Amino acid sequence: MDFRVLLVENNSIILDQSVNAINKAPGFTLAAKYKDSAGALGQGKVFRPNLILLDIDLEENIQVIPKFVREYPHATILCLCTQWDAELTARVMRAGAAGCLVKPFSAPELVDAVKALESSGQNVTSEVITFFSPKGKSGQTTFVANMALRLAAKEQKNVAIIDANLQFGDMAIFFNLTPTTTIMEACRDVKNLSPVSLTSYFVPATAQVSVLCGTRRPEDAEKIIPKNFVELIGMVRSRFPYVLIDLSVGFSEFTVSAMEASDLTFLVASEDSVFENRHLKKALYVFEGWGDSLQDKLKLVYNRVQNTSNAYKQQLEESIGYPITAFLPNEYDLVSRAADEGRMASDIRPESKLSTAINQLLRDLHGKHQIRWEKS
Amino acid sequence: MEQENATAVSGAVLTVFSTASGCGKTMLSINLAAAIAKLGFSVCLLETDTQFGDIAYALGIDPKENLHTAQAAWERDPGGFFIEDYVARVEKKGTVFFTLTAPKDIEDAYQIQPAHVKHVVKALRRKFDYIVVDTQAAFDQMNLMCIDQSTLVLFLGIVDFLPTVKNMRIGMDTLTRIGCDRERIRCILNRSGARTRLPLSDVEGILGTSFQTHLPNDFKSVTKSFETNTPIVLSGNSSLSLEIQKLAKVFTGEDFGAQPKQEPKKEKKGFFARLFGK
Ligand SMILES: Nc1ncnc2c1ncn2[C@@H]1O[C@H](COP(=O)(O)OP(=O)(O)OP(=O)(O)O)[C@@H](O)[C@H]1O
Ligand SMILES: Nc1ncnc2c1ncn2[C@@H]1O[C@H](COP(=O)(O)OP(=O)(O)OP(=O)(O)O)[C@@H](O)[C@H]1O
Ligand SMILES: [Mg+2]
Ligand SMILES: [Mg+2]
Repeated sequence: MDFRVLLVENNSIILDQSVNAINKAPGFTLAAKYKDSAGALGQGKVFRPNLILLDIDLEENIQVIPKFVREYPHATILCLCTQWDAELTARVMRAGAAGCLVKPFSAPELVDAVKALESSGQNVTSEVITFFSPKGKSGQTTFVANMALRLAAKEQKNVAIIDANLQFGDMAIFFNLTPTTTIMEACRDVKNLSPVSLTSYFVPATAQVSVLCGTRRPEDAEKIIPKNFVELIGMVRSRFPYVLIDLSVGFSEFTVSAMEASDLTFLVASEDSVFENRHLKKALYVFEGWGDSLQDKLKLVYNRVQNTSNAYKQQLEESIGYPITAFLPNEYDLVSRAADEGRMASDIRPESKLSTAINQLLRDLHGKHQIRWEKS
Repeated sequence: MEQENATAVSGAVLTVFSTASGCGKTMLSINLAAAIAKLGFSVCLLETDTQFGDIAYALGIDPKENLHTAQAAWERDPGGFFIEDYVARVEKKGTVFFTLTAPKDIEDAYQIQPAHVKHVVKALRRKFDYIVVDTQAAFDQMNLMCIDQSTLVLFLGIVDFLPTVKNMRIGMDTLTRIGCDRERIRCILNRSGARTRLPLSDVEGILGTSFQTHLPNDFKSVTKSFETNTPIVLSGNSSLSLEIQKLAKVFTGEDFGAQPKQEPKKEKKGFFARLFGK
C-alpha cells in the first residue's frame, strides 16, 4: 500500500526539501502540507493520511501529539527534528509518536526510517478486524482465538485481541489468563493513556498474541462508553499490526461503532441454529447501510459446518443472498477440549481441518485486502 | 390513567433466562407455554429477545401486532390500552395459548423501551394466569425489568464447555447481587446427556447449586418441532416432552401461589448503577 503523507513543517526551506523527498520516495505520496499543527489538525483529515511527519523543533507541536493520535487514529506519527535526541525521542513516543527522523531527509532516508520502525516491532499501518454475530454460540470466540494464532504465525507479527463481548467475555478462559486489568479500565482510562502505557493493560497469551480481557462482572459493561472504545481502538492500532475484536452479539451503539472503526468485519454464523439464515438475512439488511463497499468490508464465515462441499456452499449463498467467504468445519471434540484446557485447537492439532480452513482463509484474504503493511 | 390496583395484577411471570445464547430458552418457553395451556390455564408467551427473536419462526406465525405496536399503543393512551388487542392467538393440536412477539423489523426493535414494556407486562398479568417470557442471553435493561417482575426465573444452562459454565456462575452471582433471591431461581439443565467433557458434579460444584430439572438432549425432536411449528409437548410423550410437562405441573401446582408482586422501583439512568447503588 502507499503512504499518504501529511507533512507539518514550519521552516519553508525544509518544507520544500521534504516535499521533494516524499515525491521521490517510491510508495509515498504527499497528501497535504502545513506550516503549523493547527491547520493540520483542522483540515488534514479530509486527505486521510496514514503517515504524519511532524516538525517538533516547535515545542507547541510536541504538546499536540496526543491530539494527532486522537484525530488520526489510523496514522503513524513520525517526528522531524534537527538534531537526534534520545530523551526527546522517548518523550514523543510516550505521547504517541512512533519515533523521530532527522531533517532534512532524503527519499531513501524516509523509506529506511519507516522500514526500521516496522522491523523494530513498531507498527506502521495496521488492520483492525471485528467479529460479529446476530446471536451467540456461533463459535465466534473460538474463531477469533485460533485466527490470532494462525495470523501471528503466518505474518510473524504481533496480534492484539480485544475481548469486547462486554458481559460474558470468554477470551481469558480460552487462553488461560488471569488479567489484572480489563477492557473496562482501558476504556475508562483511555483519555489519559498513551499508546505505550496502554500496552500494560494487555496480557501476553503467546510470544506474539496479547489479549485485552473482558469485564469481570456483567455490570461493568454499562460503564464502557462506545466513544471511548473507538478511541481505544485507534490507540491499539498504533501498537499492533493486527487487532482482532470479539464483539457482543446484536446491534448496539457499541457494536456498530466498533465495526465502523474497523477495516474489516467477519459476520460469524453457525450451522447449529435452525433459524440462522433468517438471522443472517435480518442482519444483512442492516449492513446494507454500508453501501457499495459492503462486500469488501463484511465477510461472512459459516462455522460448525458438517457438509463443507462447494455445492452446499452455493445453495446456502443463494438462500442467504450473500457470498460466504469461508466454511469452518465442525470439530466439536477438538474445540471443546482446547477451551477446557486453556489451549488452542490450532495448537493442539495444527493439521486439523479447522486450522487448515483458517489458514486457507488467511491466504484468500491476503492481497485482496490491502490495508496491511506488505511492501518489499 | 392506567389502573394501578395491585390485586388486579395477578398473573405469574416465568422468565426463561440464560447467560449464554443457544441454551434452549426458546425451546423451553414455547413448550412450557403450551404445556401450561394444555393444563387449562390462560397463558401468554412474551418475547423480549427484540432483535433476533425466534418465536414467530418456531411457531410459524406472522402476528399483526407485536411488542413494539403494543408499547406504542400504551404510550399513546395508557388508559385506553387493551392488551387483548395485541396478543396473537395460537392454536396447536387443539391447545390454545397467546403470544406477544418481538417486532419483525429491527428498526422497530430499537424503539422498544423496557420502562414502557413493564406496563405491557403488567397488563398481561391482569389478563393471563401465566406469562412465560423468552429472553435474550444478557443482563440488559429489558431482562432486569423482567427478572424484577418475575415470579420465577428459570435459569437454563447447557454444559458444552468450560466457558459456558463460568458464565453460568457469573449469572448466578449477578442474580444474587441484583436482589433475585435463590428461592425465585430454578436451575434447569438442558441437553442433558449430550456429549461433553465436563462431569456434572464438577459443574454443579462450580455453580454452587444443583440442577433441579434435567431436560434430555433430543436434537432431532427439537429441530423437527421448530421446523413443523409444533410444540414437542403437544406431539407425543418423548422423555423431553414428559419432562417439560412435569415442570408445567410443578409451576401450576403447589410449588408457588400466584401472588401479586410488589411494584418495582422507579428506573434511574444506569440500570446497574441503580441496582448496585454505585
Ligand atoms: N468449529 C467448531 N466445531 C464444533 N464446535 C464448535 C466449533 N467452534 C465452536 N464450537 C463450539 O460452539 C460452542 C460455542 O463456541 P464459542 O464460545 O467459540 O462461541 P461464541 O460465539 O463465542 O459463543 P458466545 O455467544 O457464548 O460468546 C462451544 O461449545 C464450542 O465448543
Ligand atoms: N433439549 C435439547 N436437545 C437437543 N437440542 C436442543 C435442545 N434444546 C435446544 N436444542 C438446540 O439448541 C438450539 C438453540 O435452542 P433455542 O433456540 O431454544 O435456544 P435459545 O436459548 O433460545 O437461543 P438464543 O439465545 O440464541 O435465542 C436449537 O436450535 C436446538 O437445535
Ligand atoms: Mg464468545
Ligand atoms: Mg431464543
